[in-house]
Amino acid sequence: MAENDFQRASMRGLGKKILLGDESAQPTDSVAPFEPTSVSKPTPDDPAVLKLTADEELDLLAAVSASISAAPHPAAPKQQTLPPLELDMPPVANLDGETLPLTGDLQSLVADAYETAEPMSIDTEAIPPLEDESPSFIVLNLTDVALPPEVAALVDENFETWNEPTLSPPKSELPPPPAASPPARAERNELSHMLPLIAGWVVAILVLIYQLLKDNDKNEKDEE
Amino acid sequence: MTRTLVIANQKGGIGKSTTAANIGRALTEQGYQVLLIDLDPQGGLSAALGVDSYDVQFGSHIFLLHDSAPIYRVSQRIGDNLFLMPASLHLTVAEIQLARRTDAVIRLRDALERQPPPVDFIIMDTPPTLGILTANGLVAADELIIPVQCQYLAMRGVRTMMQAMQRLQKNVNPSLHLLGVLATLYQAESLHSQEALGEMRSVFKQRMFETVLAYDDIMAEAPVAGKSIIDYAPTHPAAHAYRALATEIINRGN
Repeated sequence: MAENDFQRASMRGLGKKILLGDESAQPTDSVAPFEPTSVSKPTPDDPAVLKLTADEELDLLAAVSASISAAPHPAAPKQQTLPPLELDMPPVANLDGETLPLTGDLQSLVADAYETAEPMSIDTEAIPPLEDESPSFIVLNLTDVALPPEVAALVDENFETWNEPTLSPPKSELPPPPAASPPARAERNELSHMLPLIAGWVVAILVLIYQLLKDNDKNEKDEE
Repeated sequence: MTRTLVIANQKGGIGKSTTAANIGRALTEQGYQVLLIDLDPQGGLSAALGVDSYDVQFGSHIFLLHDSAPIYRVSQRIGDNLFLMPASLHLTVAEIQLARRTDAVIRLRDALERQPPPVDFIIMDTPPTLGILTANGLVAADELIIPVQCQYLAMRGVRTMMQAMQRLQKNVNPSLHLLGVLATLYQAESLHSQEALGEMRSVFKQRMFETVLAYDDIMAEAPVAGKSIIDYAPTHPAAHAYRALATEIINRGN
């Protein structure tokens, strides 16, 4: 078997760097090979172990942070209260009419929990019914998306410049001027479409005149 | 008193759902009542217990969105003392709708406070992202379990998860703390896997669970049967590992 053509990358000694971002951590190649069966028992808790440096804030958390900062304080006043729930509910059934596999014990326990629960809060904002939304057909209405001003300005700017060539082609590559201006070409195309119609009318009129003259001659001969 | 655990790591495919299902099942073996909540639109936890998220009409999405949704209507009995609030594909839509709300990340906590389920443990499985659904789990929970695959790239995301936990502790959920880091998909014959486990233990020390979940095909097979490993192969080493993990979780709460 051929020998490996690479030097094996060891993780030994890099745990703090990988897991906690501790840049001071260095590989420790000199330590003895790790034996899973000889893992040392846990040592007393060291809170400093999990302390992260301040400059390790990651942008990946921006979405979560935004949600968190926007969330109301847990003690925020409730907007609206609902009347107590009706406890003598009919047997639980799903949309197919089958009874859900829950015991009466659990239902009664939950019902007790309802009874003792505080009045619920509900947001005034209406929630669209789920039945109207299929997860397979999520349609994003782009007109509803409000872009940040700087992004919107950038988009507008690009739209404006899309119709304008940013670079003039070399003169040698310039296309020859058109033989006729676009409007003139359009008029000519329109006339060419009408020629068969006009010719048809002319032929029809000539045939009609010929027929009238012929009839007239015949009438004169009959009178004679 | 109910203990509320969340299993979270933004890395996918590291055994979050399998762990949630089997910890829950192992706890019921010891006589505890457990409610599992699937917050992952992919429905891995639900599938692991035989519930197809494509067929779910009442699940966690309803509980998150509708203040008046009764918890027992969105939950199912899976086994003795084991209940599941399954995930539906509608959870994807729910996340979009939640994003419009100012209380997006506290919806689940508020719902569970309004209707505290009569169980000993609530265990939540989260999607492999640090989005609104995962944040809901982190806000609603008191204890966090971070499963980490014994591999370099998988370990790199742990720092982000720790920072997310610290921010949530500071801003929304002061009671949230790290119950433990769980080494998963360990391959005993792999030197890299051995090193990764050693580094995790040297950093997290007693915060690492002593139980290490080794890679085994049984973890992929059991969900096909719609069963936990403990039900599918009760004497398999993986089943024993989850029982040991459940015991650790119980002891760490004392």
